[in-house]
Amino acid sequence: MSIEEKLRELKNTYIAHLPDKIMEIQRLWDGLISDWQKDAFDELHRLIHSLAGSAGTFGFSHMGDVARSADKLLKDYRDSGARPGKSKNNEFELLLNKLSKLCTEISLTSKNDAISVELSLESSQESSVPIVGNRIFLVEDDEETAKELSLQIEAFGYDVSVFGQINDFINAMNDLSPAAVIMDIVFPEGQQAGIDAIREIQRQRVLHLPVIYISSSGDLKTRLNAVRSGGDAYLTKPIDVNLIVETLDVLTSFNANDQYRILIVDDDEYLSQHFATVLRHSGMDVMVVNQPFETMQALLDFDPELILMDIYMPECSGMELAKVIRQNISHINIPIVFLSNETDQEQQYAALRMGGDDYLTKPIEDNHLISSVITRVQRSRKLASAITRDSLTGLVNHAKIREQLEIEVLRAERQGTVVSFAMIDLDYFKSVNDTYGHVAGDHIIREISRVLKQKLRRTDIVGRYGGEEFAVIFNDTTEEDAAFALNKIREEFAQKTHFRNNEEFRVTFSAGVSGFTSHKNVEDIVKSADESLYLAKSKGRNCIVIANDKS
Amino acid sequence: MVIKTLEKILYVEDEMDIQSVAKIAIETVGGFTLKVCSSGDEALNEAESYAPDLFLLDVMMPGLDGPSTLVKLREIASLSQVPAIFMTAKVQSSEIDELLQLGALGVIPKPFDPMTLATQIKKIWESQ
Repeated sequence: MSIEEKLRELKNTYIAHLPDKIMEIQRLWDGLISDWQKDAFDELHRLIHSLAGSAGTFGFSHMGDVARSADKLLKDYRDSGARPGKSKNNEFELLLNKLSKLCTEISLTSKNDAISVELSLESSQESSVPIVGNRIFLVEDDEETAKELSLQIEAFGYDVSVFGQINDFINAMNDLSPAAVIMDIVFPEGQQAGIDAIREIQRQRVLHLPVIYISSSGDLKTRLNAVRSGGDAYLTKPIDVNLIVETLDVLTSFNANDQYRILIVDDDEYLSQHFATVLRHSGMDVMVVNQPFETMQALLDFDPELILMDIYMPECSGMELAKVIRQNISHINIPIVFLSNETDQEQQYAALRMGGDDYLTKPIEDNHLISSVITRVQRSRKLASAITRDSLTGLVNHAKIREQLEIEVLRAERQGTVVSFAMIDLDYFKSVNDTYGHVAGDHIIREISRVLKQKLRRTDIVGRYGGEEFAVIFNDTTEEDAAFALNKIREEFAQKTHFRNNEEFRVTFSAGVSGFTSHKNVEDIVKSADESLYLAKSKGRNCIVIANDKS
Repeated sequence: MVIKTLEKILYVEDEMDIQSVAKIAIETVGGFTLKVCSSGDEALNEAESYAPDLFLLDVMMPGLDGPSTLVKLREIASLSQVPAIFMTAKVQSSEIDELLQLGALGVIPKPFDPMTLATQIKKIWESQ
C-alpha cells in the first residue's frame, strides 16, 4: 500500500470515529451543565484539545479551528472558575453545534462523494471542510426536458450532469458517485429501462444511492417497481421544480443549512438532556426547557418546528400547555409530540384532543425518536412550503413575500440598517402568451425566476408576486444599489434569445424600486415600488425607476 | 559539537489516530526508527531499554502529561542528555516558551502535516 493509501485509510478510520467523539463531548458538556464536576470538565477539555490537534492533520482544518476556539474557551473557564449555565446562546454551546454540524458534513461527504475525501496532503494546513456533494446525475432522453430541468435545479445550487442515454450514465457511475440521481423511466431500451438500470446499480452498491424517478405515467405497478428498485421518490411530469428541489434537499442534505429546530419540554433534566443529545447527534438544533412556564418565551426566542413535551409535569400538565400554545394562532401549526409513560389509550386520546399530534410512550428507542421527529418536521416543512411557494417557479408567493417584507422592515428598523423592495414586471407578456402559447409563456416565467435567483445574492428574497409580476427584497441594500444590481440583470436578460417553434423572440422587463430610505412602512414601500414600476412602463418599458423621496 | 545522526525516536502520544498517522509520517516518509508509547508511564518503562536518540512528546495526555514525563525521563541517568521535541495544539507563545524552558529542542504545532513532519523533526534536530 502506498503512503497515500495508508493515510487515506487512517483518515477513513478517523472519520468513522468522529461522531462518537462529538457525542461524548456533547454528553460531558450536558452533564456539566446540570452538575459541574472537575473530572468531567478535565475530560471534556482533553477531548476538545485533542480534536483541535488532530482534525487538521486529517484535512479538517475548519473543524480544528472550531475545536481550538472551544479549547481556548474552556481554558478561560478553568482559569476564571466560571461555570456557564444553560442558555441557548452560550458560546461553548454554539461551538459545539458547529462541531456536530461539521461532523455530520464530514460523515456525509465521505459517504456521498468519495472523490472529495482525497487527502489534500500538500495543503492540509489551509484545506477547508469539503463541501457536501451537490452533484446530481439527470438521466433523461428528452433533450428539451433535460435542459430545462437541469437549469432550474442548478439555480438552487446543484451541479447537474445530464445523460441522454442509460449506458453513458452507467459508465459515469463507475467514475463518480453523485449525491443523487434523477431518472426517467421510459427509454428506447424499454418501458421501464430506467428502473432496471437503477435496480442493478443499487444491487452492486454498499451505500444506498438516492434516486428520484420522473415519469409521465403514475400507475401503481410502475410506482411499486420503482420503490422496489431502490427509488426514494417518484414525481410525475410536468415536474414541479419546488418539489424536486425539496426532495433533493432532503435526500442529499444539501442546502440543509436549516437545521430542524426542536424544543423539548420535560421536567426530567436527565432524560431531556438524553433526548437532546440523541437529536443533536442527528444534526438537529435542540433547546431544552425544564420549567413548563418558560415554554412560551422559548417559543418566541427559538421558534421551534416541533415540540416534544412530557405529559406529566409539576405546575402544569403537558395537555394544558398544549392548549395554551394552540391558543396563539401563530403556533397553531407547530407539531406537538407528547412523551409519557402512559400506556392507557384513553389518556392518549385525551392528549391528542388537547392539540397534540402524536404520542410516544417512554422508554423510547433512540432511532424511533429520531425518525418520528424527522418525519413530522419534514411533513410540516413541506406543508409550509406548499402554502408559501409557487409551484411553477419554486419562488415564495405573494402572501409570503409581503409577510417577509414586514419582518425585514422591522429588522432594519431595529438594527438601523436599510432594506429595498423591487417590483418587476415582464413587458408585453400577454403578447408572448398570445403569439407563442402558454407553454412558451411558462418557460419565460421560469427563466426569469431562475435568472433572478441565480444572479442575486442568497440573502435577497425573490418572490412571484402574480402572473408575470415578481418582487425582490434586498436586505441591507440601498435603493440605488438594488436598482444597479437589477439593471445589470435587465440588460443581460433583454439580450437573451428565446425559441419557440423555430421562431426567435426576446423578452424584457421593467422594475420599480423603493425602500426604507424614503419610506418607513410596508404599505408605503409596496405602493411606491408599484408606482415606480408603473412609471417605468409609461417611460417606454425595459427600464428601472427608483421611487423618489417625496412620492 | 558533532551531532549524532538521528535514528531512533521514542514517541509518546495517547491518541491512537494520531499515533498511526505519525507512525507513517516518521517511519515510512521520514525513514526513522520509531517506538510509540501511549502514556507517560509506558514511556518510563520502555525508554531505558530502547535508548532513543530523541524523545517526541505530546503535551496534553491523561495521567502523566508530556512535560512531567520528560522531567521523569531525564531522571534516568542514561537518558538525561536525550533531546526532546514537544508536539502540541497550544497556540499561545507563553506556553511554548514554558515548554522550551523545560529543555526541549523545539515545539511542533498540531495539527501537523504528515508529509512534512519528518522534515520538521530533522530541522529541529539539526539546529542543536
